[in-house]
Amino acid sequence: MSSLFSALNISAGALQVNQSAISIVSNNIANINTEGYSKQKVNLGTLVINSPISNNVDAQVDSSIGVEIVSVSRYTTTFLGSYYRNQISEQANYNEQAQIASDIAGVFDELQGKGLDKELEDFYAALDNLSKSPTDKTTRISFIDSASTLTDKMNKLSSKLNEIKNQNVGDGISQSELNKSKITQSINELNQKIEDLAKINQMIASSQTGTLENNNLLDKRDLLLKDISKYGNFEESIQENGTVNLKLDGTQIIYGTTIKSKFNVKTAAQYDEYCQQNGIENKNECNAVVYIEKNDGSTIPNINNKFESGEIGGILKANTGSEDKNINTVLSDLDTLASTIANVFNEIQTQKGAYYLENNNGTIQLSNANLENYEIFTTKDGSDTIKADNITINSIFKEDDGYNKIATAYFPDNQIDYNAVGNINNIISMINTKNDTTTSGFDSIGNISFNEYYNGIIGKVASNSDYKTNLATAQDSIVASLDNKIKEQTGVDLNEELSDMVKFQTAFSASARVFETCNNMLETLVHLGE
Amino acid sequence: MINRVTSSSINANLVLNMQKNYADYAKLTEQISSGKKIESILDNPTEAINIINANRELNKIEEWESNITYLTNELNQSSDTLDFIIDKSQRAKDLATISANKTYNKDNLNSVLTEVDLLIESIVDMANTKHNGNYIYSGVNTKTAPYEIQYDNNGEITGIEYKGSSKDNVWERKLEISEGIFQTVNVTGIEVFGESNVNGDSSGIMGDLIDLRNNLKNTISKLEEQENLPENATQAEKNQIVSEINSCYDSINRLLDNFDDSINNITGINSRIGAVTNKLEMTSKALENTSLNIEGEKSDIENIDLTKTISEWYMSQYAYQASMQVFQASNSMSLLNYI
Repeated sequence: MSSLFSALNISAGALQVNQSAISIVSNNIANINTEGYSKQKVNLGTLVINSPISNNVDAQVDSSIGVEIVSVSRYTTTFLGSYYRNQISEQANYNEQAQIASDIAGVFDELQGKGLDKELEDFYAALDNLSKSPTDKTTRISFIDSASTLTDKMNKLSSKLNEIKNQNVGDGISQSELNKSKITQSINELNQKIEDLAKINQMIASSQTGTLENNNLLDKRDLLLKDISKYGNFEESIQENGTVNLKLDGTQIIYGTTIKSKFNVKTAAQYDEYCQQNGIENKNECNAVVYIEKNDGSTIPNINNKFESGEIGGILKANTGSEDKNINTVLSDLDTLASTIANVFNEIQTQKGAYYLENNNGTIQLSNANLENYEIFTTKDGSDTIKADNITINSIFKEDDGYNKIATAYFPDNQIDYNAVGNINNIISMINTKNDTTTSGFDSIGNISFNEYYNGIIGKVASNSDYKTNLATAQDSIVASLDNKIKEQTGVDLNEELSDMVKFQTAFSASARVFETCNNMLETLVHLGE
Repeated sequence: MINRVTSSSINANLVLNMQKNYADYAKLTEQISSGKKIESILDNPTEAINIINANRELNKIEEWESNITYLTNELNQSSDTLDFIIDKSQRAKDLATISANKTYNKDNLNSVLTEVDLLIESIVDMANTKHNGNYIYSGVNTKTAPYEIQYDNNGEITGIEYKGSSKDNVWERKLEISEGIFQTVNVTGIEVFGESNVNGDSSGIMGDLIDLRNNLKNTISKLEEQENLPENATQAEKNQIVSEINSCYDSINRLLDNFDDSINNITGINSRIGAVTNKLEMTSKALENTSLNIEGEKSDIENIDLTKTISEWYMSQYAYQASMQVFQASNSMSLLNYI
């Protein structure tokens, strides 16, 4: 037969259980806004004794000994798995690419009327003025000025694009530029997160020795995995004991509690050197090269193309040569434009039969001496290839009297008349480059006009930015809806917690009443003896 | 099955929607305040390229129109000059007519000669007209005066030499008036006025003037010879001089046709200039029309439709207000109010 103490014990136990349950409710409410927190639930069960009952009803009563907390489980969802983290990884990738694409497009914002298109127009307008008064010093000087503004604009565009590239992956040579770059920052953050995850693995391994799960550590682990997936696409495998192993393209990054590999980044120049020393055929197309340092001392030299998504993937894709419409193709398009403009005009300026002006003691006459030294466009650094970043106007034109060196006149077949200073046939050839693009000089830009080619660049850049932004926006909403589903399934709901609180409070009060009743009954028994 | 919905998911949703509505509202507000749909190439890449093209087209048209104004000015000046020269040439022809009818004596012819000299000087002055600092009639030798009067040692006019571009060489000055089309503005002096140079080449009005002068000079000297004929001159000698004088008059007479041809040549060129001016005027009108069309297209792309945008703006305002109200209402709903 059961004793009165047993009833007292059951209600005392119930008090304890409900008090604990309230503390879980309290924890849930306290963490209602904590990122990555999953709602925890108290699972109650009856306490059982495994003793023979047979026909003994007292034994049957004795076997009911109250309530216990079986476990505290967290609400999880299948969405929290690798699918969600893949989407996060893609989101970071698209956002990064969209950001860079929009930065590039920002460089080309022509609608404000300050772009290269405007400078090209001004250049042709100056040519047109020159055709009105070819002997006028003012029109000649203003033509030279507009040519030099045009080259400045090209230099500026190129340097702005290179600046964007520098910010992302450094300039490929200088270590300090690389250290300041976004890629280094991301790699450092990623290494930090990997260290954090290894620590969490350690804590999980040491705390989860039995069958119960350490809910709060698992939440932390999931949150870290989510953070890590922002940087790249890692393969994860969650172990029986709650720890997680990470791989990137088959290379073990974390195994159990040890960090197997770390990421690091080199400049392109350092990588070239490395390749030369080790006889590797260099296939790097980026200013920065990410590599893996294994803890056994060996390295994997270039893993740029292993980052298919994530922030690091995004940065590398937007800045390497393989992806169409990225910063390198835009830069090389600009270079092509600069060299074509230079070649076409230099060709006309220095062609046989072209003449410039010369002031012979007050009389202006034509001359064609040394024409080959009077190319309009040349390079700043003296190199042979004219590019957007080094194109400049020949310094001869900036000298005193240099304005006369623009070859405005053209005579076919040596019919030179040295007084024909109003001959503008060479300027007309230059003006005609606006429309007539059939000459071989235009082959390099596909025989379309400079403006059309430049429009093509702008169009490409703007539509690429549009496309990448749309991808990023679409991905944002996929992640947002996943986030929402996860919040719905694992988040803390205030009303639910409040009703749980009322439930446990009521049970606590009731148990207390039972305890009191038992107590009274005991007292009655005690008083019997008086 | 009832889906579990949590406070944090509702909250996140409300905030997201409120942000979306506010972004819509802000975008429309910006469009209305600026009056433009497209402010950056990122707003709409395809349309932005169209705007850039339209802007470039408009700038080109502006350039061509300024060229047309420049050309018209020079052509008008040229036409005025030709009118003046035709006037003076007519006067020279009149003088030739009068001189050829044998009524003038030596003194009369001398004063005609003086007037012809003056005419030559003023016609050459006009033929050396400049526009914008450039000689109009010297082809592309724009800094060289097209005509130079040649004098002998006694200060007598002997010729009018052309110094401008030869018609066989490059002589055209032209400006672009529409895509790839260059309008020639000038005519060479040699073509309009001809010359009379040391090599004996004589053509055009300039040649006629010198011929007239030379013939007058001859006539005067023959008349002088007749006056100074000695008393004892034979009849044959007298007849000889009279026939020489008559042949002088005849050659002046023959010049009249030349004058007509030369004046007709100038008049013809002048009407050609008039035709070019008309053509330029038409081109300019066509350019203006094109420019208006492009402006219209550009404005359709670039500018907002105010009525439509304002009604959208009101809608977005309501939506934003509604989302804020829902946020407030749902946040005040809690079990906390009842326990």
